[in-house]
Amino acid sequence: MNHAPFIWGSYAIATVVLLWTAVAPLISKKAAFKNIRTLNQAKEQSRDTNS
Amino acid sequence: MKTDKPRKNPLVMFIHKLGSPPWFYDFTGKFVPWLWAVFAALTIWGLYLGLIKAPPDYLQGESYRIMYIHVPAAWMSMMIYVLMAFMSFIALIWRIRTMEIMAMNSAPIGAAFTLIALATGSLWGRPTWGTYWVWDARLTSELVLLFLYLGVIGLYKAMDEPRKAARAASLLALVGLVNLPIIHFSVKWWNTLHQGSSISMTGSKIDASMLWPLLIMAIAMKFYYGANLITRSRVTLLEQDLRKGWTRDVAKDAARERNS
Repeated sequence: MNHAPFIWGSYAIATVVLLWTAVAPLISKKAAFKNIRTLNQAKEQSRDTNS
Repeated sequence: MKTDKPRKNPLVMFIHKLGSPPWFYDFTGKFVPWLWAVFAALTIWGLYLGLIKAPPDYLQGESYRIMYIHVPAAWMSMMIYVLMAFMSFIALIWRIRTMEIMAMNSAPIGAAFTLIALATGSLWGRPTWGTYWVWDARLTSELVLLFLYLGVIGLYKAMDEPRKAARAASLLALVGLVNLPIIHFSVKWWNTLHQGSSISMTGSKIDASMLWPLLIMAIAMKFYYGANLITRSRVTLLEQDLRKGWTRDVAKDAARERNS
């Protein structure tokens, strides 16, 4: 039996899962910064209109 | 006149500081690049030794090389659960928010390692046992561990109020601890297809040329967990404190760094 597909398959699965687990919070971080900026812009705009 | 103020224990002081979101965000952020760098260096070294330098096994041939990802992932799946339960316990007793966040962010990382352990174990099982899956005590209890992680993640995401959700999920994490001795001792308590432990506190049945890459990979995965946990916890703090002043400063600093 050729063992190579099982070995490379294992490392491929591990790479994909570990990469996704590492990248997912970076995507969330980008979204969180965007939300913070949007909130601050809205706050500044409402302050300008009130003054 | 001087009064002798009682000196606080440095560990207690550190835990108090860790409870402050801006301090936690700032302090832990310094470690993240180093943790990733050590993880990368150890992984490259471990894989080089394990996949290139180590000789084939006399019985299993080349297929045993799956061990260098399967075994560290399986160890991590259990270690992360213990840490998650420990942090959940502290969070429940002392109500430290950063601890709740770290416990809850351990769950997806633990689930990822459990998934890897199950998938790679299945791929190792085909050439070794002749089957991808059997309802063996070790395999089944590891699958239960995956469901426990998914349960913690699901419960945490199911509630709108994150602190209430973390408390409920922490309780589930603590209850699930009962599965860990079952996983560990399953190969002793039942007649399983899965082999017994090759490494124990007293020694190892594995040749040094094959053992070292395994230990290096196991240490590398701990750095992965540390880097990933800190990254996730910092993002959760940002998400939960969107309207607070410190996150505005952090966002401004990040934008300034990006533009410079």
